[in-house]
Amino acid sequence: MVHIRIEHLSFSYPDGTLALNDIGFSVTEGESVGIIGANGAGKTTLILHLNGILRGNGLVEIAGVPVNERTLLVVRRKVGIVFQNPDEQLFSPTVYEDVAFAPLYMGKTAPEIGRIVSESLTAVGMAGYEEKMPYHLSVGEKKKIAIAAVLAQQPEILAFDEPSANLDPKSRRILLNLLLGFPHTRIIASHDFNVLKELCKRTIVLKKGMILADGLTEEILNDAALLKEADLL
Amino acid sequence: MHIPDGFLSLPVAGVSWAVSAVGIGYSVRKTRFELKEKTIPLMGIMAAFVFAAQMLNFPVGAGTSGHLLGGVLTAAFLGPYAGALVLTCVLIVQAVVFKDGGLLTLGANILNMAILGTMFGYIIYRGIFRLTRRIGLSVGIAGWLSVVLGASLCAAELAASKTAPARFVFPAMAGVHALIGIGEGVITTFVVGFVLKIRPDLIYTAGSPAWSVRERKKAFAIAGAAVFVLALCAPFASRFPDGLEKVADALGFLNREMMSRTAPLADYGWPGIGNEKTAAILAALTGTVLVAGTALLVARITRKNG
Amino acid sequence: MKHDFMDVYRDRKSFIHCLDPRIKIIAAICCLVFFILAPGRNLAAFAWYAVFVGVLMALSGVPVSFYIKRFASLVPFVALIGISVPFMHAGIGGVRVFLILMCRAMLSIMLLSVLTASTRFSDLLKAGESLGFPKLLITVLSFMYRYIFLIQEETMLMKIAWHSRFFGKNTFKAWKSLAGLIAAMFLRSFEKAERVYLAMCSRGFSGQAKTLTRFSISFQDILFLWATILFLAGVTLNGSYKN
Repeated sequence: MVHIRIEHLSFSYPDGTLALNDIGFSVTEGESVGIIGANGAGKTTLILHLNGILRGNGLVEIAGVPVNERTLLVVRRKVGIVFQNPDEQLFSPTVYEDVAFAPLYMGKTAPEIGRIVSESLTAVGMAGYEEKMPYHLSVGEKKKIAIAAVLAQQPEILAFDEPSANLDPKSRRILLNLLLGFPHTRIIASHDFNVLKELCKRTIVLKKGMILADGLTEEILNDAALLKEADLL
Repeated sequence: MHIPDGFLSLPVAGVSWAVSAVGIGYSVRKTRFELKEKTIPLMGIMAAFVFAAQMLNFPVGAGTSGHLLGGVLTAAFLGPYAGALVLTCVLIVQAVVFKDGGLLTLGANILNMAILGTMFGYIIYRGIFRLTRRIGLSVGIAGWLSVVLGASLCAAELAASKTAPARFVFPAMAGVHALIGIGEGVITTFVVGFVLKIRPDLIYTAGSPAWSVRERKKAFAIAGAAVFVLALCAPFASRFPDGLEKVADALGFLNREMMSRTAPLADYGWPGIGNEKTAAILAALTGTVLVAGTALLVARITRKNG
Repeated sequence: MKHDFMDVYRDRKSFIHCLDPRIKIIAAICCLVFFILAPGRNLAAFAWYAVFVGVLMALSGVPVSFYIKRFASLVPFVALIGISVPFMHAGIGGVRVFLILMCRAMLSIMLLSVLTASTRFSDLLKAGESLGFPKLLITVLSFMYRYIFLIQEETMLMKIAWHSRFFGKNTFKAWKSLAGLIAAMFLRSFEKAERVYLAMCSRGFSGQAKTLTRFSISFQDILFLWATILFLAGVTLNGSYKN
């Protein structure tokens, strides 16, 4: 089943900058796709279109549902985005409240919320951290809690913006193992080629808001000429 | 300017809490009315910013240093109502977590700095802007005034509580803060200028129409009531010591507040015996002038607006 | 200061910790009112207040050293505010008035220290909401508290940099630089807020703040409140009428 379908997507920021230029691709259920590009190529902008935070011209369809003002709540339930900076994703006084945020706003009852929080934290290996306060945690722990907070949405699709940024090798390894175990459809925007090689069979290369290449990760990451053209080498 | 517990009598603390509560309630209502969804995290994070910014000291000469209030600065970007709420939150956290300012006196501190300093500071800034058409100048002058007026109201509260003699604490507070206010004004001007260069879209423009007639009447009523009650407390003032001039000489440098209490009257937390009306009348008069002056300014601006 | 230094103590399980936060707030306000109302000549009452606060400190399970440090650091601060009082009156009278003022202020501060060291800030907020505080303010305070230490840390770094360049100099350049620093902080905070908002929206936030709490008042809480009020009323009135 086609999980994500994007056709002729273009987007300009209020100040006029053209951030995305006629983007089009599809992702099937369960697929794991990487997105690479230089800074400013449009990776984050693209990801923000997946759950309707940004809405450009063109088609964005999530599990058959077109993304527009009316379908926002539905779409946001299906797509979970893990942003780059965990401090900006964990904004509640305690871990419990951060992870409970999504189910709370989905209208779940208190016992249901408790169950979901418990499951989400266990899924990232952070069970028992419910009463901790975010600013006491290390970067690696915060990243995992942020993922748990997104898992609590019970999404079908997960999108990550630079998941391994600021992580030491050990934490990065733990994170990778975690992500490998997820059954969701995954979109991963990253500068880290090692992460992409391990997690994504397919990679899309962006340059100045346009798709430069879309193919097997193995081939793309070994194509020096292509990477140079994309300002990545 | 953060008044600790014990420095204000219960009636003064009570009245200032009542007026503040009205101000906060009104700000909450207006903010919800104007609320763009992202305002909530914005107000929270701005409050954290103001708190941190208030930690920055600047020298004002004579070995004293002042620190930023940030009322007009906040209001310039968030508006008077959200701005007042942001400052209120800063004061709450300062009092509760850091013990800077008391809990019973929090009402007075909110009144001085969040309501007068921020909300009315904004009104003053817009008023001056209407005249001069220059944002930098307007926020600067409004910043200075907000600090001086806030300090004066603080002095009035201390005088009304008989914690300090009016004829001493007014010049002391107003004087020191006239200096500190310069820092506030200058820094506010610069900061607003810098921010606008990079993100001119952030300046607050009033979404809702100017105050309606009913709202103006309410504002006058509240201001009038506050003055009335303060004036009621004033006649029960204490006798003031004669050693005042000695003190002023001995302590040539003024730091924050200085106060005195006469022995028999200090024992009571509420009005008692005393016939010295001079300073009391002075306090009431000054307070009246300040509040009336601000209210008049409000009237002028809203008349121009509406 | 990377985070609230009191957090260490807030997760303990003393008698005071286990009281309902709403009761604690109401009791604290009652205490403060008594501290202000007591006539200055009623020295016995103040002595009893000090004993009362001392008992609360003991029951709070927080080490005495913490309270001593708090007290020691705040006394000079409050004293400075009341500094001219001894000069205003001849002899002992002035000093006594000053001391009573200090007593009231320090008793209040130490009482609040017990409250804040034994209650999580988020619980204080929820208690406030439950007691009628505007929800908007509670939500804003919640965000503020979450980010206060982060932003403070960032500010400290900038402050150190500024100080090392401009220490003591009262020049135009110094002021402009300070303003630039504040402007930078402002913009960073603004943009951080925008990104937090995006994260909230992505997780389903739609404008109306929602909260999760359940407090329950137990018999113990009511008993504590009444015991406090009766005790304080007793010592206050007793001393006041005797003289």
